[in-house]
Amino acid sequence: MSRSIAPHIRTEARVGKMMFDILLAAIPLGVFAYVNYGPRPIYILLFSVLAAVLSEMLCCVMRRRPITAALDGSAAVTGLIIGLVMSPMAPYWLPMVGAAFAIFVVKAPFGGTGRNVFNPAAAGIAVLAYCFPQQMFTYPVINSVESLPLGMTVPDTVITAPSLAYQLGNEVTPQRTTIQLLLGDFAGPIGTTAGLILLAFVGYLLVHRTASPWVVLPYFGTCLVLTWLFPLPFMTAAMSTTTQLCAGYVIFAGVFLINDPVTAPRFWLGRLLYGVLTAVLVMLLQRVGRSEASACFAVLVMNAFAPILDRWSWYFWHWLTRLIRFRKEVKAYE
Amino acid sequence: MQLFLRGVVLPFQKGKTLERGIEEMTVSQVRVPIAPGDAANPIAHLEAGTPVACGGELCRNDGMPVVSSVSGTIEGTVVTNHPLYGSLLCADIEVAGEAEERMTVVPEEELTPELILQIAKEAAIYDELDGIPLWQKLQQWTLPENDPAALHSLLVADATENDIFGSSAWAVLMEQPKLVLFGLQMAAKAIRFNRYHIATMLPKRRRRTLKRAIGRVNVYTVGDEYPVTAFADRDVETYRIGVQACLALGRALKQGLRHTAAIVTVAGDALPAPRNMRVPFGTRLSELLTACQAKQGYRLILGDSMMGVNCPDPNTPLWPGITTVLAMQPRGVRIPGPCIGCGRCADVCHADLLPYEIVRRSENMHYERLRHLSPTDCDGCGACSYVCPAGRNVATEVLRAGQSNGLFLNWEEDDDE
Amino acid sequence: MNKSIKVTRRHIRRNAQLFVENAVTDNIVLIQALGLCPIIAAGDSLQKGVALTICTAVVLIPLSFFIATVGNWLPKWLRPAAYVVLAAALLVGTAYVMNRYVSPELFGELHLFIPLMAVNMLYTRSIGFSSLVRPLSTIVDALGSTVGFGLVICTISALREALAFGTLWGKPVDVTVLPQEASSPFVAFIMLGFMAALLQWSRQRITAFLKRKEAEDDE
Repeated sequence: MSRSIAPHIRTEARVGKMMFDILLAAIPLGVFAYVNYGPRPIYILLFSVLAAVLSEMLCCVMRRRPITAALDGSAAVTGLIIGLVMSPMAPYWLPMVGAAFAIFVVKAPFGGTGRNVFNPAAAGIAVLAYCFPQQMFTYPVINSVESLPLGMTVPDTVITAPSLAYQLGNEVTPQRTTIQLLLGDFAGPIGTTAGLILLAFVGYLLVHRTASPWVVLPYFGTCLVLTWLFPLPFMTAAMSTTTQLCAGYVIFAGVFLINDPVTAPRFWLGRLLYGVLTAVLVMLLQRVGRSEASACFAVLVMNAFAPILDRWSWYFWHWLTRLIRFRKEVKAYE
Repeated sequence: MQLFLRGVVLPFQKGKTLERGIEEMTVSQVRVPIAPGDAANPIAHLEAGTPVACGGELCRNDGMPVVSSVSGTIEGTVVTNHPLYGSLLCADIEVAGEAEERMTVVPEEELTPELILQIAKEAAIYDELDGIPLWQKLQQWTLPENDPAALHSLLVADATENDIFGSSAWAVLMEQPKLVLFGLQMAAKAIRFNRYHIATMLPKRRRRTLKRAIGRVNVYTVGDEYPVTAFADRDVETYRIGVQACLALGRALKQGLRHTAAIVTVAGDALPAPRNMRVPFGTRLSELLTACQAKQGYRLILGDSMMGVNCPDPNTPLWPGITTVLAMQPRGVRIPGPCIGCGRCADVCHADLLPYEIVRRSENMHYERLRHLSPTDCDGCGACSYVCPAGRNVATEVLRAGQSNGLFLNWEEDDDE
Repeated sequence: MNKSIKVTRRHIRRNAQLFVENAVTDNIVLIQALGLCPIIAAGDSLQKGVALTICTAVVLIPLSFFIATVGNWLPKWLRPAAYVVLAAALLVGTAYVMNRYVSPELFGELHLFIPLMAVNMLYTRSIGFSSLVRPLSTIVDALGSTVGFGLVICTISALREALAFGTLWGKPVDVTVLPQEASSPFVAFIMLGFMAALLQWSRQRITAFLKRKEAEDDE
């Protein structure tokens, strides 16, 4: 007679399903990139995911865990996120280096899945942006060629264009309409430009409860309010809002980076604060800082504060509810 | 679609069970608990071969009669181990004949509070929610005459049934609503409460039928999230008794019948269909499950699927304290994964705790920091374990942390890995 | 007097243990987390690492000796001030010598970190320990600390120099060169973390091994 502990029924939700939900993003974004740049971005994504999973397997071997633990999807998600921010003409080793760094340095030493302090993907991207800005931030003009050459490095003949964040940093008005910006019709990384696809995907994640609305909605709300309150001086107000949101990794971070449940707070009030503060930091770094990957740095900074936000918000809420209940009881007694 | 997760709503799997109504079953032998197993034998006169009638008195236990639930002959006594009540001394009774013993019926006008309590005691009525004799519960709550506390006190016949399968209270309500209401009224009269109602979360159509039968004011609808927290925020003190206890009280007062049978929901994936069965007390669960055509090799669980306990011995007698018996098919052991911090356990916790943090601290042996998280507020409803996507036994850990109040030390040999 | 400075075998063993503890097992940087600032900020070439090690030795050893001998005679309120004055004097001397005779460029690059490191060492390490034990033990302790610090800073600075610039002590070596950013402080942080983890892990292993051996011997 086998023994088990109550409750005897469980929900259908599984960690693997949550990871699979995020991995599904590869389909629309992959198709988008394929249409615009040919098969090269697909290979970049594949290599990135492969590198992450292989690194995780190696870590499992080193820590004497079953190798199947590496296939739970979290490593693949890390690889996918790193692959999505690559330039379509990035050399193939670039995402692999980032993924290996993310797994070997940021994730495994802290104890693997569920125990990492910092978002491995954000850390990987940050390191790549810091060490290889040349390869990271050189983007081809969208639809300039039928398909990018598949070699290790792309020859110089491909026409490159400055990215949106770079243009904003140098106070250049991008020659794009709002619709074009939202549809992703401008030079940029593989997966961060298609704003509408990313927003639709956030909706999907919310419906499937993979993403918490307590993080996502405050994040996007704060981003919107901030861009609306502080428009860029050299543009019209409406245009400024759209451009700032589409530049850099703002929407991308809202979909992939801050939704990592491991490094975000877990209590709803903490999540709300986390979303708001991350948005403020992202917009601040976007405006003041020079790096295009400012969102990654903002997420990393907020990751450090996540446990404190979580606990203190809970202590505050607990104290408040207790106080209210006590007042009520005193009133009833009187 | 609920965007912000607050509380669990369990899947509804009771409709078909309700439509079948309450089914009778015939038993061949019952095993009636008569005393705690370690007590000195109080039943010297209970010799093998003595004939007893259904509702007949076997012996007295603390002044309360122990009643035979079937008519037949005593075969002997045996000590069994019950997962809920520990060691019990039971009398085995072989079923034969249909002899029945009734109490004298007192006219309704002559019923005083004390007399109702006395009849509840004589009729051996147990509350099916927790297995405590009804008169003991009522006596604790009894108010003196003209007490102003009666304004703030509410007697609730609990038919919430917020488990997945459990529907026995609903079936009782559908079958004999008027008698249940009468029993509830009498119980309220016995303890001098002015306010009483039946709390239920029946589906809309059946709720309407129920309201038509016993009156709108007596039915109170609670929300369908698990666990029921609808009473927590109200200004009244709520006192809960079971629906079957109300029914038994009504039957004892109107017909002079003693409490001899329970209505239990028998469910689980080892059965072809879940059913509500009227079962005499002391029926061995193996017999009950055979009558329900359970597949062999089931895992027996006493109580509902969220808080039930394992029952390793299928010959355990049925006794008040449970309204659901589950027969689950054995499944592979699911290895719990690491906590990925989705925070759902905190979202669904009706006590507003942080289950993941409590588990983390007790796993890391930071016992001195546990008490800031007040794990003692946990009542073990199991909602956190239910929603956990990593399949961790969160509720067990939290409950353990709360019971030990931070002093529990689970020292294990460190293997230096 | 003669009796008190007699060195016995027990003393030697104890002092050797002290040295090894400070240099390796309880490494002053990796386990006690002292003197991180110069390693992370300044230790990006082997030359600088060696220079910083020598500076540490020059400041720390006389200072420890002074604390152990003279320090206990001073009134308590005067001790910190006296130690600081002495440390400053030693530092000024070192700096002068380095600037004048060794290498002005090196001094120009390092001059901020010398006092930082010395104060770090002084306040967290020497005062608490040195005032309690014999002068010889103090010197051994200071020596051990210096060696421990030197081991870590030389390893990290050599790695950073070789990986980022492809040189070692100014001479080119044949290694795969990473981008210049490999010499940045955050790489040093990661290296320190891994070194500390490695040291702790091997310590655990050795302790477990010794325990097992003891258990076997008991049987």
